[in-house]
Amino acid sequence: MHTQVRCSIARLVNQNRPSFFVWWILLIWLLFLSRAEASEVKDFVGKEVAEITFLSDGIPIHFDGLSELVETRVGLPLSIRQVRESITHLFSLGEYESINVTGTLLRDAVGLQYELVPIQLVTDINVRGDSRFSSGELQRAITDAHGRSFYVDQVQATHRTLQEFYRARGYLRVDIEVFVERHGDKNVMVASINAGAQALIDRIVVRGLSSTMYERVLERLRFETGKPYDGTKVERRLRSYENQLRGQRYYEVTLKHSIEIVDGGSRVHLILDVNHGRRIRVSFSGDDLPGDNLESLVSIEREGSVDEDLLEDIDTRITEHLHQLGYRDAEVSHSRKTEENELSIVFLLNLGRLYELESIVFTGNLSVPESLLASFLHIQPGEPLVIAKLNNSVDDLTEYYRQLGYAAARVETDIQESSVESATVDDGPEKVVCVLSVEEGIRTVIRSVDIAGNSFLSDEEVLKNISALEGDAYYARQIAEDSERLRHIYLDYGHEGFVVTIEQEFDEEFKVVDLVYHFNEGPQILIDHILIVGNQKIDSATIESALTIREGQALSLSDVAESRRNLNALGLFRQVDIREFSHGRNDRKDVVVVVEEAPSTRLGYGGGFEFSQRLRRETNFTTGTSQAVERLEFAPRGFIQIGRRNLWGKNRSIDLFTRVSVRRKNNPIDLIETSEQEGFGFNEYRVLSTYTEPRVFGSTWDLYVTAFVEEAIRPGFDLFSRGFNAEARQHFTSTVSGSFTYGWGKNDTSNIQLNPEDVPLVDRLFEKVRLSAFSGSIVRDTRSDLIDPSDGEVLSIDAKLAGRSIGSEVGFVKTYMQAFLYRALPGFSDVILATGARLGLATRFEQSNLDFSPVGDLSQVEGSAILFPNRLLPISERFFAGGDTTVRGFAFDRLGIPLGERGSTIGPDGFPRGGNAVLVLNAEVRLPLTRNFGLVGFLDAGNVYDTFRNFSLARIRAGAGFGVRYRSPVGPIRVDLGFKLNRQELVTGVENRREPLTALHISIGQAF
Amino acid sequence: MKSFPCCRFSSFRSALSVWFSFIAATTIFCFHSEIEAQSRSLDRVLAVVSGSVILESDVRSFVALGLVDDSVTGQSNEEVTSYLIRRRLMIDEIERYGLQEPIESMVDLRMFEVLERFSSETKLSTVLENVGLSLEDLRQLIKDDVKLENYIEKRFSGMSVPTESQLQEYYDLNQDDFRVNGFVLSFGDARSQVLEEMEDRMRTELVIEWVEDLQRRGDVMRVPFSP
Repeated sequence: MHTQVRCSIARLVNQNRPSFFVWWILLIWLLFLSRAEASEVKDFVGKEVAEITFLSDGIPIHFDGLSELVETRVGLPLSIRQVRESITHLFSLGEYESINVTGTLLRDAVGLQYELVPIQLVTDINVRGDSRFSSGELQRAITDAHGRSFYVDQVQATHRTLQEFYRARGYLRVDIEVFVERHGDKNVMVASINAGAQALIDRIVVRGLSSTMYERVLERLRFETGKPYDGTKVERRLRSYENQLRGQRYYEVTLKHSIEIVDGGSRVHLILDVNHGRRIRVSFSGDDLPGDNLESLVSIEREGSVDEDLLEDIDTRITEHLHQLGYRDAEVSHSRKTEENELSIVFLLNLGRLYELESIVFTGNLSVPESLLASFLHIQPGEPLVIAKLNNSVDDLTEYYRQLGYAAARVETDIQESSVESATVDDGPEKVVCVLSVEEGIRTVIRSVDIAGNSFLSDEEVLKNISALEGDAYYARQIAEDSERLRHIYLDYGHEGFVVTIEQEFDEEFKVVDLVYHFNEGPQILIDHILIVGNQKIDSATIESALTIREGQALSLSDVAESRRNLNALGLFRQVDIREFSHGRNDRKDVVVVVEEAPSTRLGYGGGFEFSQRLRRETNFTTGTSQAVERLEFAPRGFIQIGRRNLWGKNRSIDLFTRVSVRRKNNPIDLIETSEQEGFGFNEYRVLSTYTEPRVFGSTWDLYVTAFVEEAIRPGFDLFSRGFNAEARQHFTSTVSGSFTYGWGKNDTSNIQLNPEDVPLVDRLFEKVRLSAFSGSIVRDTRSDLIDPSDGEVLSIDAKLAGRSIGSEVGFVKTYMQAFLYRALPGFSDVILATGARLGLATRFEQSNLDFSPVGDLSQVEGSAILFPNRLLPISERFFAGGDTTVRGFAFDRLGIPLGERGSTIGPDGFPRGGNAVLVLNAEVRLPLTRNFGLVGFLDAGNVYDTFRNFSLARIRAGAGFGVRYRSPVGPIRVDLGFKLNRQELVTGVENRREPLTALHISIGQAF
Repeated sequence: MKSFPCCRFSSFRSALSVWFSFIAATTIFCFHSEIEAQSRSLDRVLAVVSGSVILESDVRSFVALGLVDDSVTGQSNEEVTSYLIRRRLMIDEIERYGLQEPIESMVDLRMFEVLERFSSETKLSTVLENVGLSLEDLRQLIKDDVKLENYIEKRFSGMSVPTESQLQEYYDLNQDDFRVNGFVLSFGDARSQVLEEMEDRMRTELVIEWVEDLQRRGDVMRVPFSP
């Protein structure tokens, strides 16, 4: 065959047909020419782009996000600059390890192909074969060492990890093979394992023990020959034994194990190295250690060590403790004494004399009065002499002088003993006088401030941000702060490389200094492109609206941080990452916003309970009477919440919340119905649906529209309400927010526990009250923590206006003001004082356009069948107080003016009727005991008044008490026991209707 | 001459075979050029240095514009990429110190030197267009180079002063380099030249050491070429 071909070629050559060869040569030449020509990039530049395709791993792909990142466009001339930028954008995603752009000449156009080579990650692990361990255990071993996903080229490293895993468990002949399989678009690591047999313990060698101890130790460790060897179990038992020995004061104990492999791994010799060390005894000699906090100072047992460094630390700690007590000459040393099997650590305490500061004398202070200097002292006459406090005082005094411009000021201490030298310890503390000698030195004033090298900010703008100016005292720290402030300003303008150096030139006498700020602004980094990636359902526009950075603007650090905060605040993303990506140019950067969307549907559910003292009707069937009594009630509750966010690709969401409580229903007054209505049931529920639209109509306000149906059992009545609210809310600053709300609702009250005589006049009249109201609120909240604040304050004012002209059956105006303050007690940073004041005032409008017929203290509205006590609001809108969040000496809603007194708000049966005014005052001290437990002591006061006219501070009721707090993962669990400071009769003059002394509350979260 | 039919047939067959060969070759050529010869890589990632990418077009631009340092002996992609990696590492390092921007006149001079390498501004524009750069980008590249040179000059000059014995040793080893008119200069006469050469050599060593250290510490990833 080959011979034939060769012959044919030879024949053709010999046939001497030059035209044929010319054709061939010409063709080959043309071929090379064409290839040579097409290999030039310039042939592609400027030609129209006819098509753009994307390949990932050799497979064509298409998704919208890509085209946003690619600058080259179909129909436009090809620009290599755009190709470069496209590659940079795509690479900045961090998802590709290589990107190659190929061009193909198509007559007068160009076809572009972006070939993306994804970073190959293993995301799943598949275990095959006789592995002896569950897949979960093996996967955990791999993910602990290599992470949940890892690069394909790291797969061989997992082989070692698995081998170590098996060897540690005694499978010394394990056979492992790892490789990667492609399952769809996933890389799956397959571990094919044949564990083989577990090695058996052939021999146990214990080193470092006497033969008598040998058996005891083995028995304790439960190691036996012939049993399978598992290194992890061996280690566990050794550690457990080690801890046991440490508990017996063998702090130097070390237990180790190793193996010798025999028979090719089918058996092992287990070698145990046991070093018990000596039993440690700690004792003190010399003077007695004042105080009883030895445990915290001598940490040998806690640390389980007698390391020399630790013992030296203990010496220092005890010495410092003694110095703090005023034993300034105290010395502590330790020694080791070995006695048979015991090591005795002896701490020798030499307290020396106790010193007390008798007086402090200042000398050399020419420019600052002594009274002012004394305010910087951390120690006062009459206190023990603590050198550390004295040194702190000296530091503060020196710093103060430096602030005044005395850069070289020095303060020195001289402690002069005032007692007679022969005094003994029994004579009491040694009195000392401390002389603080001040050397003020020269006061330096800034003579001039010059700025050089600035072009971005003008001199005036720079000077605005400098606090140390001409004529001011020279204070080095202030100048450093100015320099730092300028750096931050420049960083916010995108000058990443900004450096300021301050040249300080003093005159010969150091009286004046000339400051020159030398600026090296560096290039301003502008944002070239903002690339948004990772969003699938959420519009890029929604993300853009949350960004405070803009293309073409300076890359400001604070804007990037704010954008990140805004995106997180949207609640739409599981993860947000804002990366800067350099093109290689120093003045331009791309910003890549990488988001990982949270699931669109959220489901929440939970359960809990309420344990509180409540008012209940107690009916005496014998006498046929009934009255309000306080009962401790337990009410289990559960909730379920379903939400859908990212509606229509925007940050809109809708949530449905349902809560139900199992609670005993109010006893009706009507005794005949008792048997039907008594007992537990799902008598309290709340169904609430909220639609949320942030930044509604492009404004800065967020809109919340809520529809609700609710039934609640209140002391004295059952409330059934339904309606809707539309609320616009805005955060004006990080701490101030405000809202406007329109609400429409219908309230039905039933089972009202009022005096039966009032029923015809009151009870039925509250049924079906339609309310239509506008309300507004403004809140300033600076709390350090919303659940358990230790600092900050809350100030809020709410106002509500309901009127017949807007569809309400009742017109009223109502306001509620709250102020809470949280502060650490001076000198006790972890003891928090929380105080609060709440004031609510309301009045019902006169309904003059209707025919009124006063009946007693009631007004009657004919036609609408509505009757209200004198100017009282509908019961659902009235104020109530008492209970776990208001006045804790009282049961829930229990506060009020007793029947028989002017402006009574408590009915004849003892049930509260609520009022048009309320005042609640609280003070609470929160004291942490341990990391999770704390105690509180509280004093609450307040009352509910029928009208503002009857409002009186003299009639407020007070309760005091204490409680415990447990800091749980869901917030502080609270148990409070409140005592009434002045018990009184519920009905004036009726002795047996006295209030109970206490009220117990169990709940979650702080009271306020 | 009378031709025999067989001869005529043979001639016809030969002509036909030539014709078919031509058609086949032309077809192959057309397809070949359409399918293979007209496709080429326009750009790709060659390396990533501390998050900044080095592209093939960067390599092309440095070669085309003559911006590659004299230390790069060859002009292969591999060597120029290594040069660009080193350059990026050095620039990133000096950016940390916030150095003063170079004097504009110095940058202008360098720009002029680059322009001189091209017969016309149009030619330069074409080259820039083919590598995806603008004049502004070129100026920035030059500015970075000048800044880098200034830094190296400032940091490494005068750092190491050779001792007399080192100078003598260097002179002894390289006497042939210190000839004037065929005569070897004495150590005393050649001392200043020896000193200059030695300082230059020591400075270069220090710079190499610095760059090697940057490479060790730096986050550099070369992208393997996947054809």
